[in-house]
Amino acid sequence: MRILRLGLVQGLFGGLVGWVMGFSLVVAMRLLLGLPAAWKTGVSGPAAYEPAMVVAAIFFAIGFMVGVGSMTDWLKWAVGIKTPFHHGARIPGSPEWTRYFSVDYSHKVIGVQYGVTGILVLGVGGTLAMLFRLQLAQPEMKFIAADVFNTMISAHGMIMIGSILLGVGAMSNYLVPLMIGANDMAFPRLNAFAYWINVPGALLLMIAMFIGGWNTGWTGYPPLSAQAPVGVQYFFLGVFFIGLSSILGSVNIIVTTLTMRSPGMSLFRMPIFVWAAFATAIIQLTATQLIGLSFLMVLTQRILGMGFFDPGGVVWYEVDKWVGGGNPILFQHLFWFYSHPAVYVFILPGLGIISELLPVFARKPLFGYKWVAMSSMAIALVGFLVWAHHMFVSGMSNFLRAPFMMSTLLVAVPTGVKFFSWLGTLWGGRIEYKTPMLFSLGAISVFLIGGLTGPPLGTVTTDMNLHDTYYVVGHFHATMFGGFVFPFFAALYYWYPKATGRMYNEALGKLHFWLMTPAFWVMSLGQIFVGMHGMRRRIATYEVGLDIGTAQMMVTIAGFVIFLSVLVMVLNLFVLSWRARHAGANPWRSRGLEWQIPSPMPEMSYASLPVVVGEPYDYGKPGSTYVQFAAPTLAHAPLAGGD
Amino acid sequence: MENIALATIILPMLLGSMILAGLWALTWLMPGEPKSGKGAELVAAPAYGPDYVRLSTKRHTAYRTGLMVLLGLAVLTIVEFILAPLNSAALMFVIMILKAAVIMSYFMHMATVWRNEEAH
Amino acid sequence: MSAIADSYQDLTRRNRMGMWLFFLSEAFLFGGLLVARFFLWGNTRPSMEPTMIGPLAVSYQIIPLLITVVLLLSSFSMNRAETAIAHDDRPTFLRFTLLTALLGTLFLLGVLVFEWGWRMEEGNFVLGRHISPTDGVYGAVIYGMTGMHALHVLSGVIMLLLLWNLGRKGHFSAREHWGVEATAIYWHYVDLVWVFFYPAIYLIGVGVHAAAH
Repeated sequence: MRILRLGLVQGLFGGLVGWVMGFSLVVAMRLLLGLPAAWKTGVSGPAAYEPAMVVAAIFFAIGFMVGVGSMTDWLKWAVGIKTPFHHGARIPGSPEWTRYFSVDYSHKVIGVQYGVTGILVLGVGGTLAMLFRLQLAQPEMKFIAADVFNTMISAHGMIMIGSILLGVGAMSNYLVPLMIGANDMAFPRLNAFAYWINVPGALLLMIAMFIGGWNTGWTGYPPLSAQAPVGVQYFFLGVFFIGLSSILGSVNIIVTTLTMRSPGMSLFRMPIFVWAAFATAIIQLTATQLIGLSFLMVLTQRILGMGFFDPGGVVWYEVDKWVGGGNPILFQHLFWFYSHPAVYVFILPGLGIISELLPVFARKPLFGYKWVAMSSMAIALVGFLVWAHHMFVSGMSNFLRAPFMMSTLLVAVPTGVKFFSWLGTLWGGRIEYKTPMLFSLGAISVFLIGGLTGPPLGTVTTDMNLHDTYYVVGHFHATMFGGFVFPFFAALYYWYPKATGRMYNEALGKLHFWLMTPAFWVMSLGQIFVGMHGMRRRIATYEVGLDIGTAQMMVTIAGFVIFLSVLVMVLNLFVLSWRARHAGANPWRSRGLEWQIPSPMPEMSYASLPVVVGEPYDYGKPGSTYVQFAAPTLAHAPLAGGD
Repeated sequence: MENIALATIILPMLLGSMILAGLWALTWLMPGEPKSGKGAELVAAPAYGPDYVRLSTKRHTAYRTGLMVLLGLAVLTIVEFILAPLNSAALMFVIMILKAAVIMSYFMHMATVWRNEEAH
Repeated sequence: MSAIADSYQDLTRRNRMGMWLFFLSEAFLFGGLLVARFFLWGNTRPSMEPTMIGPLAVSYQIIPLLITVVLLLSSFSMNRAETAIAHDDRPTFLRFTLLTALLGTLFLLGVLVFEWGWRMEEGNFVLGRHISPTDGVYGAVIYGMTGMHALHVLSGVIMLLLLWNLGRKGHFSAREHWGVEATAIYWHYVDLVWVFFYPAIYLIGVGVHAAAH
């Protein structure tokens, strides 16, 4: 049976075995230690059941990774067996499609795996949103129970974040090696591992909804998350594994960018997306540890009783025993130290895509290349210093408010640099309104809404009133759509001919855009409107007296239109593709390295060594060249002066 | 306070003698040249002639560097322990960072990250 | 693919950079634990009862100091092992790799037995000689920090044993020993973390007693 030999199937089997092993391990240990194995009920759920579930989930992930085969090479190395590096199907002779369901080391396959998984997970998160938007369409509707509603909004939040991280991984993994003229990433095995660990992570997030759910919102603040149902543990672990993927993936991106560029490609001759991916990787590499740590601390507080966030009354120590002293504010500091820079992880690659696409379709050089490159780095670095603006009303020390307000407003400066660059690039260009260009322009319009609604939230006085209202929801969705979803779709349409060799249906692509963009404006402005009229976040229903029913109905309808438009894209790219026309190597007349080789790309992208001899974005300048190809060689001899 | 007395006299002496004993044990374990034993036949280095002398000298210089670093770290640890009752977190952090810098530069060869070719 | 054509030096350079980026990442994890310690404890630390070793009452600060010394010595012996293989001295390399693993195990035992105080009591395992994980914020932070560090020591010991096994089979040479270097810098990194954790837990701050004096 071919199906049974797919890595995915073997991984799921290994995961199941691991889950059972982990669960029985805890039960067996409890019996050996003389503890009652009975499901004794504690304060926060059954006392023996929860540790068993947690250990089982960890074993599930390990079992999955062993089963899928992404650790096979490393385990062999550990005992001294050399494994030759190879591209192609894991089992010789199996068809091409099996590569996408098994461990494969080619960065192109891994990029597609990331992308397709991301779109699937996006569909799950979107479906959840559609369900609870139905309830919010009218006041006083109660067909979803309040705690189920809370689980759904929490799941929508974190599943969408997972999907965005997968999408970011798709773009970085697929494009960075192609754009710098490398044939693969620096650590192909690590790359495969970093993709596959997402699968158990996403599965755990989804399982969490069915084992009690978690009613804490996506932030999982204690003390609520310390008392929530056992689902919150699976949510923590799911995020933990997805975060591990971020860390390992970013190591790969940074090393690849720094060591594997083509000869002649100095840092300031890299395509602008590579700069964005590099800045993103710096955030992912470092900040992600903190969300892992904060979730781990709540996890241990729940199963081991370690009271990091348990204030335990006012007494710090009593006779013979220390009690209490924990502080939930610590969680918020650790959590937001990741989760604020994380939004720059979500938007920076997208903004890079916009800067990448505008010169191609405006046929003009990118305005202020160095400034745009540096603005990505500046956003990444300033992003580390702004986290406490999420905590203006949390009860943290008051003196922290003013500095964090100022650093937050500082982010507007590099973002403004990017806007100026986009306008400068478009100015006087001969713009071709193809679908990728439309999505880039749509992204700018939507990101502008998100950007302009930001400063009122970063300013202490206005945030006092707007905190935890739907205004925040509107702002956040505008930045995420403008910074990730629109550019991601633009990238999908733009590189689709390169990846598959076939051209998507332009009419359907434009239909997608013209459905989605106006609908999104309505949705975002509607959310901001209801927020300013008193609609709070994370409540299952609202009163008739707020008089926002019409606006809420508009938001819901707009949400459904967006959902529908994404289905149009899926139809266009994944269903109608089999009879689409051939696209040719360079349909967009781009100067990028990856467009100079045939589509679809061969297994080894660059059989002959590309040598960079000019500036990347000199569109419309006669006689300018970006890249030349050396004579084909089997092994690349390093050129003098290269890298 | 008995804690101070303990910290300033007894513990440093105990610590110092432990480190000395450890060093003595390690130098005793340290062979001057490859001896017969498991794996000895796999040694590829020259066993005689001027090359051997050069390699052997280089090796012993490298060994001595490691020993010096250990001594430095041990002294810093003792100083840290003795000065702890001063209750100065800043001082502790200075010593910690000093120790970290020594470990990173000598034990972890941080400079090799930026170097292109192997030095040895 | 370029991966095949790349020389051992190229690959080592990438591996080394990747390893250091991993350390940078881990620094944020351990830094987060340090932040938690200073946020929750401020300028205090738990001052614990003396450990009874037989009839002797030994200050609780002795055991952490001893295991610190053990870890320091292990760092030295790791360095000696790495220097040895870099100079083609395989017997020394093997001997000191094993010694490092031994000292690492000793450190782990010191944490588990003396610091954490796993022991048998009436046929059951009991945790907590001085302080248990449920002892409020002091117990939580101590067990969080030492636990996360011990986890890294444990993985380091496993790596060392694998390394010793490979070295015994004749892997690694003066020219090609990235495996040794990786294990060595990982081990030093774990020591580096303890350089920060040891004073943070045991030396900095005013001792606070659990029992009323």
